[in-house]
Amino acid sequence: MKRWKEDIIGIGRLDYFVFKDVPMRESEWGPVIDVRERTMELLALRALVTQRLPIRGAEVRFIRGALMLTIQEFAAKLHLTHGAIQGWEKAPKSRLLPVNEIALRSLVAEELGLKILGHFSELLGVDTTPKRVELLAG
Amino acid sequence: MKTDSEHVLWCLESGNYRLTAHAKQRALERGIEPADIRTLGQTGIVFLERDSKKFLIKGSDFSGDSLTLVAVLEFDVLIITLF
Repeated sequence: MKRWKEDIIGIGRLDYFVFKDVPMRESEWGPVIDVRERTMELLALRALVTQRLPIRGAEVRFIRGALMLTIQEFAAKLHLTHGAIQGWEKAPKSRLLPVNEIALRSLVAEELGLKILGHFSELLGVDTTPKRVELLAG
Repeated sequence: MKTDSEHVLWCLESGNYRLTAHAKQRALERGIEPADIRTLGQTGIVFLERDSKKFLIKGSDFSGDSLTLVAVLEFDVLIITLF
């Protein structure tokens, strides 16, 4: 069976992630990405924290899904109303306020068991959503 | 012993699936996330396409919207071929 590696672009609505060297293989149904999607999902989730990527409504939905939380559970963890979360998710391209971004980044770090710096300026996101964020999936 | 239908839903819910490159492209175009596929594993109904090995799974995504996909079983691993 032929096997190779290639770069895979995007996960869900987040098309700026590029997964490098992803294992691929041939199959009866065409080329198959030979890695669990969960692996790529967790890489992207981790990058949202460690690379301080801007968090918009699209990222909120992705984060909530990756943490496998309902809107009510997610809202409760952030001490917000479920309406606030719904509002964010309904505006996929609108960036959250810095204080909300920090709260979300901190929540994701805790859920993933990541240690992050606690200074305000170090938790703020970078200015704009990058065109390309490369993650090694191989 | 699980039936094929039960096994298909378990694969979706547990993440024991792979995407074809074509399905991945369709997922990106439609904004389908892994959470949508997991949710389909919890909500879906499995149909076996007549005269083929393909399963059609219909259910809801993470937002409660309808989602349908086509998949095949390659030994124990589910391969999603189409959204």
